[in-house]
Amino acid sequence: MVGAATFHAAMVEIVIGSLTLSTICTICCIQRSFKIPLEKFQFTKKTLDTMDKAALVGAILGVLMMPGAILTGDLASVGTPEDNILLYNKFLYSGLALGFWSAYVFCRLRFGQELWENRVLSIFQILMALAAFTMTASVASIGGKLVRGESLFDILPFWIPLDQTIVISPGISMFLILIGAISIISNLRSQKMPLKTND
Amino acid sequence: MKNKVIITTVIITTLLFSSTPIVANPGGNGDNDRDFTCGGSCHGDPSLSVDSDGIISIEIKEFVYAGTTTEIVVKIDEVTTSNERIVGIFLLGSINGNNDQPADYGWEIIQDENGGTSNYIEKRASINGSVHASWIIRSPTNPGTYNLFASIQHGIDPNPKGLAALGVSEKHEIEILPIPENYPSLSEDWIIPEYREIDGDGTITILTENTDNIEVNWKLSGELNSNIAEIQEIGIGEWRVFLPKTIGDSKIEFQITIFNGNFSVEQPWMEIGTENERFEGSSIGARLQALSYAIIIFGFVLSMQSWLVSTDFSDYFSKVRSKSHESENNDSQRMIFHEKYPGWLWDSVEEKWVPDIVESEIRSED
Repeated sequence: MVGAATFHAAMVEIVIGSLTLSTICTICCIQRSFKIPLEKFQFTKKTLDTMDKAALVGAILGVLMMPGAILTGDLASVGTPEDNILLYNKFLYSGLALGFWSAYVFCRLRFGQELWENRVLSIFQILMALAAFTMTASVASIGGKLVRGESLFDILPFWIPLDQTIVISPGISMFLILIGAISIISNLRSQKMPLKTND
Repeated sequence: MKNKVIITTVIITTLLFSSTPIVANPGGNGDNDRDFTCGGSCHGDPSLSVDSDGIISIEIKEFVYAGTTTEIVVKIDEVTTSNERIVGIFLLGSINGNNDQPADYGWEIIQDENGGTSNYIEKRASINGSVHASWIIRSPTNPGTYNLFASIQHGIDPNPKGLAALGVSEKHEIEILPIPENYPSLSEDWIIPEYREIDGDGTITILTENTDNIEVNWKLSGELNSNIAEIQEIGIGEWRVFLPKTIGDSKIEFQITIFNGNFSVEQPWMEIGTENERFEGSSIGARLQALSYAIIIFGFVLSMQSWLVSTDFSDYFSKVRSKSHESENNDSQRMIFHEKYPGWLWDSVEEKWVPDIVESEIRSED
């Protein structure tokens, strides 16, 4: 019988692979708003359109697979978040990554490819993808720490505090969920603003 | 009718997927006090278990005075395990299937290999298949012949049928002798604390009997040289020992030597750590906090985006553009062309003639 750990490994590989592709393609899409001075690295409009679609599909696949990766990781883990800060942080970073990537997908679907014609929004979208990828990489790094006791984050010149965490009470968490839900609903119910492009 | 079939199929499928896809306890079951039934009843079924290839041996003194402390070492060698390399090791008083914990025969575990007081512990075997575990135990108070067994259970690799490997040692007989009069020993009421409190001064209290003095040596795990600890007598047979605090998972090893006149008894090496900072997280708290982060981030991003779309940044961009135009104009005003000196420009800021590179290039192309 195939255990949860095997499913978890497979799902994590899909999530990390698709989200890495999505992040790279998103960064390249900045060329639709800003001309870069180096001609060698300037892509054609057709290539940029393809990159935009690849970024979107990669992000959608990652967002769809992420809950499965979290669930199988929960089943496969030896300890519990009660006695393991790393495991607790893995939950928190998973939540952050899921939030950022869901917002990324939603924003891109909301405005379509026109998003890249607006300089401010395109910068915002790229910053969102970078934040989301940092969270995703942190989750993967914690997985490495838990299983092998080491991760590639160890060789980075800066320090990410994976062995420390912020614990808030379940009551406050539920209050935050309520605030977030109200914020989302009020945003969605507000009138759609016309998107201003560079021209 | 068709709807009923669909609903039934959905319910069955949901139930099938909701079952935990795990067999036995491949990640271990945790240290605890367990009878041999844990390893013997379920896995004792030949269809659920195989014999372990590990060689189990027990090391303990052949005779022990009643009610005194001694060390028992269980060695497992050449064992083939699963990839996790986890081996569960039992210290047992019998292998009947129930009431086989050492405590059922008068033994008292003062400390196990992992710092607790369990008769079943889990350890990872080395790559070459060796794993050792030791228990500090207090012998029964009634003299006589007692038996001790060691048992192991672990996974195997490859393991297509999901079987557990089981192994049991030979019976090990120990002679418990009547304790001599005035024999110095640790008190029956004393058990080594698992950890020292993080807020405390790092001291531990030791209770002894028939003792007029004690000496405690300590060293960090793995060190060869030991140090002598400071000791304060706080009552009859009650001693406060000052041991350095440790950080994180590191532990300190210490050995108590008990004196009564010229007679001394050396106790086995024991270990103690310092309590880690309290972590007050919970499983449900982690899940709720993660969900709240996801929803808050999603809401925040949507709000930011709505604000960015509704805010007019055209003024800012036009200012940036006009600034760049200004700098271009300034450059063109700085260099003044003079008909008398073709190929040269007058730099009005530096106040000197400079070659007109553009005109030179046009000429060279011609």
